[in-house]
Amino acid sequence: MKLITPIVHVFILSCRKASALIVKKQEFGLNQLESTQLKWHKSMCQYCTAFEKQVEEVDELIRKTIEEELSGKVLSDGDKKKIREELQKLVK
Amino acid sequence: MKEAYVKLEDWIMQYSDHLYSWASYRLNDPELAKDLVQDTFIAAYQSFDRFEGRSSEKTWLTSILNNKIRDYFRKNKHQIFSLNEQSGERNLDEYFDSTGAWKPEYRPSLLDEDQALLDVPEFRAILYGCLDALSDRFRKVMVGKFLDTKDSTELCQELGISASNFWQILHRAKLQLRNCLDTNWFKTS
Repeated sequence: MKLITPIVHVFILSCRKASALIVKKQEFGLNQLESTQLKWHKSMCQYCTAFEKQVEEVDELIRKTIEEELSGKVLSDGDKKKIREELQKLVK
Repeated sequence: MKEAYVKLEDWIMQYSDHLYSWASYRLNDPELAKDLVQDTFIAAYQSFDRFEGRSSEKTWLTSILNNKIRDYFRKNKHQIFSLNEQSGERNLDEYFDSTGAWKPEYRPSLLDEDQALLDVPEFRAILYGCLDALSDRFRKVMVGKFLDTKDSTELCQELGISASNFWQILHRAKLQLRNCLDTNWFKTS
């Protein structure tokens, strides 16, 4: 891997560039050239393959936890009334 | 300040549930969440003239709440996990060598197929910790994507960044977040 790595990067992509494309792919999608470059790079680079998988999983978990936690949590009318009363104390 | 109060009453009806669910999500403590939501409305009332309508009302209130949450964490020394570097916005050179290859200490752990990220409470705690360790800008980009199904254009406006900047920030945020999880979870479990 030591000798091959720099050569791979000249013809295909560096890990630095590949990891950027992985993020771009997940947000905006890639064009044909980028998509091919990334595929080639990943076929030779286990670290970037692992990076893509882990970043996808983290995204999915963040989305899931936020959705779960945000749904179904509401304040009671009493709680809202209390906030209004606290504010009223300030209004002079 | 009667005008401000009338407006605030309206905002309580419209946004308090959203703020509360967000606060309980971050704090995992309903009573504390209620207190901070109340503090948020009080702060909003007190700095009402500074609301310029550049962001939406909801965004403004959320940013006040986020500051309260961060203050709370700071005061209570919530950072129980280790970050192996300072938590600022690191340069990409930290992760890659001059040829653009991963530096050994930042290489993603190679996991077996069945070693997926586990959706267990312990992992969530670390996920929150790692999110909190991100700089403000990074966190807003990472979490904002999922809130209110904001599209990236709207999010960029709120954060005051361009689309290409957004992608670059996200790149660095994801490098940092993934590395934090790798260090605090994969390599210790």
